[in-house]
Formats: sequence, C-alpha cells, structure tokens
Amino acid sequence: MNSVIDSMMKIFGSLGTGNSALGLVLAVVIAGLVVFTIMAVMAIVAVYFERKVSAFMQDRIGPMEVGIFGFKGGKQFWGGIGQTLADTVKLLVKEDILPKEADKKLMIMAPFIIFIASFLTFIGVPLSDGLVVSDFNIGVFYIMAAGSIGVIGIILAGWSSNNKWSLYGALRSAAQIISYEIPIGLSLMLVVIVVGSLNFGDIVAWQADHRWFFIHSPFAFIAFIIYVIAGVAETNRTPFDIPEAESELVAGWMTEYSGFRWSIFFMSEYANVLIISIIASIIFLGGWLSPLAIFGVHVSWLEGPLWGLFWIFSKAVFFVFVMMWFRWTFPRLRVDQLMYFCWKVLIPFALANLIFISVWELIF
Amino acid sequence: MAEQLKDFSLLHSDEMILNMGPQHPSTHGVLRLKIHTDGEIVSRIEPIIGYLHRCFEKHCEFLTYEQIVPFTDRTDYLAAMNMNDAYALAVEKLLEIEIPERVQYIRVIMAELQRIASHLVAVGTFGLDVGGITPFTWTIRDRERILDLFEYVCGARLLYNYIWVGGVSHDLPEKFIRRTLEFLDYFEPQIEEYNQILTYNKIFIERTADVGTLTPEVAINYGCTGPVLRGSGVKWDLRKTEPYAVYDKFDFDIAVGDGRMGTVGDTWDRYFVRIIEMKESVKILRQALAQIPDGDVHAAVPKKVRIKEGSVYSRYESARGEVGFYIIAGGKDKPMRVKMRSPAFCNLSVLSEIAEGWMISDVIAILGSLDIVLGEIDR
Amino acid sequence: MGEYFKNIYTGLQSFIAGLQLSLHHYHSRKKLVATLQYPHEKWPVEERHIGFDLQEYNVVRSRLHVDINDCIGCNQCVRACPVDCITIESVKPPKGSEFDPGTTSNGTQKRMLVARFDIDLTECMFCNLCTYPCPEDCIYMVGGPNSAKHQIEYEYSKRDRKDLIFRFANPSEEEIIAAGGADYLAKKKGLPPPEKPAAEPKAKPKTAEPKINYEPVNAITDRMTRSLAKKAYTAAVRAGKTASETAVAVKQALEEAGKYSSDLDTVMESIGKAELMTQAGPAPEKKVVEQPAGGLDIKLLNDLTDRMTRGIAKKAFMAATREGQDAKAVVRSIQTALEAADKFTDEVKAVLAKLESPGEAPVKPAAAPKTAAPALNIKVLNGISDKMTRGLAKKTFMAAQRAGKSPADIVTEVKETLEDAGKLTPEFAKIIDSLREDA
Repeated sequence: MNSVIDSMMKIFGSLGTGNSALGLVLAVVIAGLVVFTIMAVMAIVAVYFERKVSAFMQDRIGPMEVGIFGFKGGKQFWGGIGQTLADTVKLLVKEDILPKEADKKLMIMAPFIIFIASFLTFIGVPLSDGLVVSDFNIGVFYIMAAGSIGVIGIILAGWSSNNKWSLYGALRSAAQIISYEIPIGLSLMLVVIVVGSLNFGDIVAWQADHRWFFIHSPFAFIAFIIYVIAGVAETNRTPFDIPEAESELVAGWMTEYSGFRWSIFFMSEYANVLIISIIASIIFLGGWLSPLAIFGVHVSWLEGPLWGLFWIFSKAVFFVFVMMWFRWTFPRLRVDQLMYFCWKVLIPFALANLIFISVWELIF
Repeated sequence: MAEQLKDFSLLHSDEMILNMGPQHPSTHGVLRLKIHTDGEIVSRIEPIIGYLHRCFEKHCEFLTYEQIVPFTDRTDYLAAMNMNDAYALAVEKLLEIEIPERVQYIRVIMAELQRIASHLVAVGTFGLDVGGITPFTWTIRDRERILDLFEYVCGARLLYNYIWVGGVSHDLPEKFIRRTLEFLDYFEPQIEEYNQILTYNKIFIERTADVGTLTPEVAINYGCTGPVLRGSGVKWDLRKTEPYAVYDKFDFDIAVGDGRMGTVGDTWDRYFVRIIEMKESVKILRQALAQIPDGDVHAAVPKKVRIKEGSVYSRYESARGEVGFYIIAGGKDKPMRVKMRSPAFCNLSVLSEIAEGWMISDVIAILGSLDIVLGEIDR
Repeated sequence: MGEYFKNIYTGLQSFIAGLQLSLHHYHSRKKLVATLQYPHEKWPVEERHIGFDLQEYNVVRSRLHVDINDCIGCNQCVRACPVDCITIESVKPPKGSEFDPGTTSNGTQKRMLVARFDIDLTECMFCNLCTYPCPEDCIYMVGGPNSAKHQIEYEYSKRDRKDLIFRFANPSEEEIIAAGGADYLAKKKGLPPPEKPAAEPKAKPKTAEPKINYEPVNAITDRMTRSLAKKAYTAAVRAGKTASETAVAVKQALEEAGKYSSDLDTVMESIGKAELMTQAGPAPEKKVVEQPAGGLDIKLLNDLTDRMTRGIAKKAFMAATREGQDAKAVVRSIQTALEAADKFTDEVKAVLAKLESPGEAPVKPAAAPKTAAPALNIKVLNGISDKMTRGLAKKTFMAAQRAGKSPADIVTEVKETLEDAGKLTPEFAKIIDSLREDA
C-alpha cells in the first residue's frame, strides 16, 4: 500500500528525528490542509462553472464583470472569473445570523458535521495512482460509510434552526439520502463482485488489465447509469433537490443559515459533487488510465501519476458537467415520486443487475 | 412492553400550520397561504389576500375617466393592455360611441400580443414552481421581444396607458407590422422548444397530470374564467361566445383541456391550455395584421369624457379570464362608482377546493397553474 | 408491468429530448445569448432584432421636460396629471403694469410669469397624459421625436430623492417683483406682505422683448399651415434675419412640410415687405440689453479641449446671452470669467475670436438699433502685464459697463478700484486712459 500518509511518514522519519509520532502529526496536518484546499478550490471553481453552464443553457452570459488577470466583460467563458472570489469574500464577511429561538449549539455544530463527512470521504479517494491520503483495503466501503455521516448534520441543521421550512427540508433530505445509498451501494457492489476487491487501486488495475467497467457488460452499463442518477440524488441536486426546493421550501434546511456557516454547507455540497464524480470515474471510467487504453493503445508518456491526476480530473469534470446539465434541464420530482423512483425503479434494476452479473461472471 | 406502548400513545400527533408567504418564492407576489399540514399532506388551505390593496376602485371616483386608464394598467401588470382595453370598452359602451375599425384592429393586435406575453410569464413561472429554471429564462427572453414591440408603439414596456377611451394614444409606427410578423415567425418554433423541455418532460407530467383536478361543475360554481375554466374542458371564451371588437372576423379555436395526460381539468391541462392559446393568438395576429385597415386613430376620441347618467357592465376576455367593469356614471367627468371583476380573484378562490389533500409541492404547482396576479386580486 | 416499463421508456425518451435541447443551447450560445450587457451596451444591437433605431420611435417615455420659456402657465398639464406631480405657481401682473412676460415660440403672448414649475419625478408614473393637452407643446418626454432637443436619459438616477424634483421655472426675485408678485414672494418666504410703496420703485420693467409683428402671417387661413409658418417666422426673426430673408425661410419651411401652395405667394410678399418688429418696449436703451446674441453659436465653444474651461466658458456664455448682451459683450464676459478662473490660454483666445467674428451668421439684425453707449474696447486692457491687475481691471470694467455707466465714469471707476487695491502704476493708468481714446 503506497499512500501519501505512508510516504510522508517515511520522509519525515528519514529526516533524522526518528520520532514517528511527530512524523505522523506532520503528515496528517499537511494532508489535511491539502484536502481542505482541494475542497475550497473545488467549491470556487465549481460555482463559477455552474454559473456559466447554467447561463449558456439559459441564453444568458452569466458573471462577466469581476474579471481578474486584467480582462473583464465580454462573452468569454472566463470573463467573470473573479466573481466567485468576490462572493467568497462577501460570504466570509457577512453577518452570521443565529435566530433567537434556535438551538444555538446544534446550529453551530451542524455545518461542521457535514463538512467533516465530506472531508473524511476525501481521505479515501485516490486522485491518481498512489496519490491517496490513506489507501484502505476497504476503500469503497469506507467511502460509502463516511459519506453517510453527512445526513446527521443535515438533520441537526434542520432541527436546530427551529424553522418549519428547515424541518421539512431536513426530513426530506434524510429520507432521500438514506434511500439513495442503497442503489449506489448495489451498483458499486456489481463492480466489487467482478473485481473481487474493495480497494480502488485494485479496481483500476483490473480495468487496466481487462476493460473499463461501463463497457464491461450491459449490466455494468446499467449499473453505471444507476450510479450516476443515484449520485445526483445523493448530492441533493436537481431533479432530486427536494430538500432545498427553493420554490417550495424557500431554502430547505439551509433557510436560517447565512454567511460563513452557509458557505461551509456550500463547500461540502460541491465537495460531495466532486467525490461522486471522482468515484464514478474511478470505478466505471478507468480512473487514472488514459482514454486511449479503451482501444488497447498504450502510450507510455501519457501515463504516470501526474497524467493520472489529469485524466481523473478530466473525467470528474465531465461528470460534474453532466450533473449541471441535469440540473438546468429537468424540473423537480415530488417527495413520493422520489421514493417511488428509488425503491421501485432503481433498486429492482440494481438487484436484477447483481444477479445477472453473477451469471455473466460464471459464463465468461 | 405494555408500558412502552402506553407511552407511545401519549405522543399525540397534530397538524402543523405553515405560513406560506407573503414573502415566499412561489406565491407570485404577496399572497399568504395559511396551510394546515399533516406531514407533507396539506389538509386545509386559507388564502389570505390584501397585502397589495391600493384602493383602486375608490380611487377611480376621484379621477376623470381618462385618468383612470393608467391605473387600470397597474391592476393586472402582466396584461396591462388587456386591462386598458377592458376599461376603454366599458366607457365606450357608456358613451355609445362608434370606434373606428383601425382602432379595433390595433386593440385586437395589442390584446393578443399581451395575451402571449402574459401566458409566457405564466408558463415560465409555472416551470419555476415545479423546479425547472431554464424554461423561465427562455420565456422571459421571448416576452422581452413583445415588450420591445410595445415600446415601439407607445414608448412604455410594462404600463402602457396606450388604449384610450375612444381610440389609442398613437397610431402604429411604420414598420410595426413587419416587425410583428418577424416576431411571430421567430416565436412559433419557440413554443415547440418549451414543449420539448417542459411540457412533455416525464417529470413535469408526473408532477402535474392528475394533480389538482378541477371539475367543470366546480369551476363554473366558483366563477372561474379564462384558461382555468377552459382547462376543465368548458368551451367558454368571450372572444367567441360574446364577440367584442372585431373578434368575429377571425378564425380561431377555443383551447380546452382534453385530459391528454391524465384527467380533464388537471394541472397539466390548465398549463397546456395556455400553450395552445399562444398558438391561437399567433393565428389571430396573422389575420389581424393582414386585414388591418387605414384610418385615423383619434377620430372617435372625445375631447372630454362627461357622462350624464347611467351604468354599464362590460366583460372582456383578458389573459386571465373575464375582466368586468361595472361603472356608474354620476353626470360629472368622474365616475360615481367603478367596480372591477377580477378574474384571478375568482380563480384563486378555487385553490382550497382543489389543492386540499395534496402535498406541499402540489399546492405550489396548482397555485402556479391558476396564474394569479396579486395586483389584480387586491386591486 | 407493461405500464411500468412504458413509463420508464417514455421517461428516458423525454429526458434525452430535454437534454439535447439544453445542450444545443449550450453549444450555440454565441447565436442564442440574449443578454444585453447593460452598462457597456446601452441600446440593443440591431442584428439581433431586439431593439430598434432611435429614429423609428414615435414616442419615448424617458423623463418629462418643460421648455419654460414657452410655458404660458395655463395649468392644463396639472389638471391632466392623475398623480398630481406637477406644481405650477404663476404671478399675474396687475392691470396697467408695464411688465411683459414675453411670447412663446408659437408666438402666443404670455399673460403671466410662471414663478414655479416643479415636476416631482418620484411621483410621476410616466403615463404621458400631461403632454397632450399642452397648447404650446412645451411639456414633453425627452428623447425620441424630441431627441433634437434632449437625448434620452437612460438612467436619470440621482443619489438623493430630492434631486428628482425638477424645478423648471427659475425666475429671479426681481422678475417676480417686477411682475407684481411681491405678495407671492413674501408668502413663499413666510414673511408679511411688504408695504406697497416699498415695492413700487423696484417694479420697473427689466425685460421687454421687442414684439414680433405677426400680421402678415396671420393672413394664412389654414390652421396647420399658419402655425408652421409662425414657427418659422419667429425663428427667423429671432435669428435677426431681414424681412426678405424671413420670407424665404418661411417659404422653405412650408415647402418642406408640403404645405406650400401658390396662393400663399401674396402672404410671402407681405412678409417680405413687413416691418418685422413693432418696437413696443419702453425706453430705447433697454432694447440694447434685450437684443439677443444674434448669430452667436454656443457650439463653437465645444472646440475647447479642456473640460473645465469649456464649462466655465459655456456658463458665462449662457449668463451673458440671457442678459441679452450683444456678441462682443458675450465674448468679453466669457473672457473675464475665464481669466478669473485663470484658464485663459491662446487656444481659448482663438476660439473666442472665432466666436466673435462669425463669417456666416449676421451678428445683428438690420433693424436692430445701435448700441446706445459707445462701446469701450475691453481688449485694450489686455495691455496690462500683471495678471492680477488685469483681472481686477476687467472685472471692474465689466461691472461698470453692465451698470450702464458712461465711458468716462467707467474709466475713473476702473482706476479707482486699482488704486484701492494698490495696483495702479502710471504705466497701467496710461493703458486705462487709452480705453477712452480707443472708443
């Protein structure tokens, strides 16, 4: 197992002190800072990306006034790149409101629980070959487990706000996230059955040896579709954004939050989007393998850890785009339809998939 | 075990009262809905109105007949031309003056353009209510073009004061007909786009079909008019049933709901009637633009409106339904009493009838399909 | 079960249709984007068929404007306004008063002085109803057909709400008192009405425009034609054209409007012969003051490059023309103003020279009487080398001249002022003396 933590500990260990405890602390702090930076940068970039994508789909041009690097205005994609930075500053200096009747302790705590959930998930997510904070044997399982902590934060946020809209949003969100964990788990299980390992490195290695999972078999493709749909639902995005549902519940469980705490919600939401996208690209799209590998072409200078980082992020950005594309195309489902869709469409298909893939594995 | 069960029974459940509005994204203005909810299910709805009351009717008693026109703009601000037209029609009936044919045609053109503009807002905001944001920006984009046409004609984009008692304020500009035809050519394919992204979307159909069904009997009993009534399958359009202006010269159909996706009179039908009506309006516009005669638009404008005695009730098919003006003249240049029948008010009153028993999300969708304008309800 | 799979199938179909459409919009954004980048693009560009040319507008509702010189204070707009945002207060000269409020550009004799004409645009609802009844067409929305007079103001936004109350009438207190409005003025200030005799001596006419003789034009029978002719006639007379020139101008205006017919020939002839102005004003020397700055064109001042200089120059120009000074005096006053602000450069000199000696425009109408007092040439004072002294001398000179003093008095006054300031050297005294000789 070669993880970032391990190699850093090795480096710090070799620096002479031999104090492995200090090395561990340093390694953890540095890795944590890096993950935090990735999350923050992701939120800033994704917000801008989302604004521009939505604007172009809606025949608008989106932000275009606050350019940095000397250019501003115009209809270019990068015309208003400074907008999200300005918004970040705004959010950080904004008044932080705690309602009088709110449960203040829980309300302050809730955003951090959600943040910790996505932060913990990030630890197990490899960004390239060997570029993972901690390489678990049970990587897939760990990510599923760590990702579901977030719902506690959502329920706390909704309850502690002492607002009826927040409560509705929280309860809807809890029901939704718990339900959609199942199709996600089932579709990932298909891959695990085929590969025989829960480790991400093994899964990618298997794809390098055989073929990428979304073209592995028809069942794997269906599992891929189910994963993407359930992943959208898991991140509470349209058409499954009923917990926020701005036209019904004002802002759902985030109604009473503002300023810094709200920006933490926001950051976690986009971090979750990134995690779902990265995992989709690792499990179904060959992770850090170059796309030429589908055709059996191996170009040596297009491989390696740095190129792996590039490929994985290209694939993830594609998924992020797909999620935005969904969001700006579809209307929103109703609560009962959301449950219907999960329990009566996705889960039966995912279960049937599992059976068929087992048969497939026996035959081939 | 028995004790635990007893404790559980002590947890009595109760209805929760939810105040939706007056500041809420989907109440289309300053409507307040007091909603009694049982979980997500809505058991009772009380609409509370009056947050936008401006004493329009009382105010009219202190204004001359000409001065009332700009205030009718402000009742239904999304279909201001229609309100101008409805009011002018009532006063002309009282004055018993003959309106030049050109003016009649101009009014029909303006009314139909305004109907399209108003339905575009209705369709777009309805999409917004069920969660689709993109159709809204597209419809608003096309509405802008209609507003451009209005600006071209009368200089104003929202509140026109264009249709006067006895005429219109300005004749059509030279290139207006060409520009309007250009717009219609552009606009017709856009309707198909709205259909593609919203109307026939499966999620949208699931959200609206069979939801909040308004039966024809209930609709008639509540006095619903306009697309809400026609959505229930009742063929009632004042342009056809009681033609005013020159509507009897045009060939068009009354759009009615046919329960294509569910039952007749469901939310989807009420929505789709507006889409068909836009197409019918385009049809009328093409005919009107081809037939429009020449003439002086100020020929019948009275120098000073002064009505001796008498009263009149005049009805008019606005984008939202039947607008009625009941005017009692007091022998002066000011009316003694003006009563306006607001279509959106009657349409809103049916909300608690059809939305109870549905979920919160459905209430939003049903409210959106009624297409209310609070400026008109509160007056 | 069939229903279940059909639902999934139709669902997928509709999703793909929707996704295709939004992707199409994403891809062809260059063509489809409808946004107007407001502060950078102010009017929609034509090729997207969103907006229209300014010229094609036949009406624009931008902001109300009043040409106050044309307002006769008839209160028609006040009566038409549904929200009462217009306030007019007028002062009617008492019977037998010599005060003349002047005429409008349509040639209507005003009967009263409009002392206050406020439009509160915070209340205005842009219904346009006030513009129709105006008999003199002097209240209108700016832009559109009136764009020659005023450009459209996209954002006449103001920092302070009070700034949205536009005060169009701005007569001086002397004028109001002259029009017999002493009571009005006192009421406005909240003072007890002044004693009559105290107000009497001041109440001498300050402004008296030469009356334009409309007799020949009034012979036209058709109403439209007559008003058109009147307008052209007034403009021509104001510009100081001779009788025959005026006739040509009127004819041209009518021909442009397509209203000219041969039976108007006799009228034109009578215009050609007519006495254009009937001198109704009281004293002859007053007329000098009243003479409009014939032919002077404020646009020439646009040649000035420095913004501040231009502003000062224009202000001085406006002030001078309003006082009715003749071309030379106007130029002089501009010069003084600029010198006071220390902005008088060679460039300005050149522009002013151009202003003073226009090649094309006649400076004074033939019928205009000569200046009563022999004009002293202020340029002589330019010989004074010290800048401060020169400024002081010029200021005194201008003040004295405006007060209507005789040349000799002016010279002594200038000298005295300089002496008081301790600036009078024998050299300067000589220059000042030469003023008189020059005249």
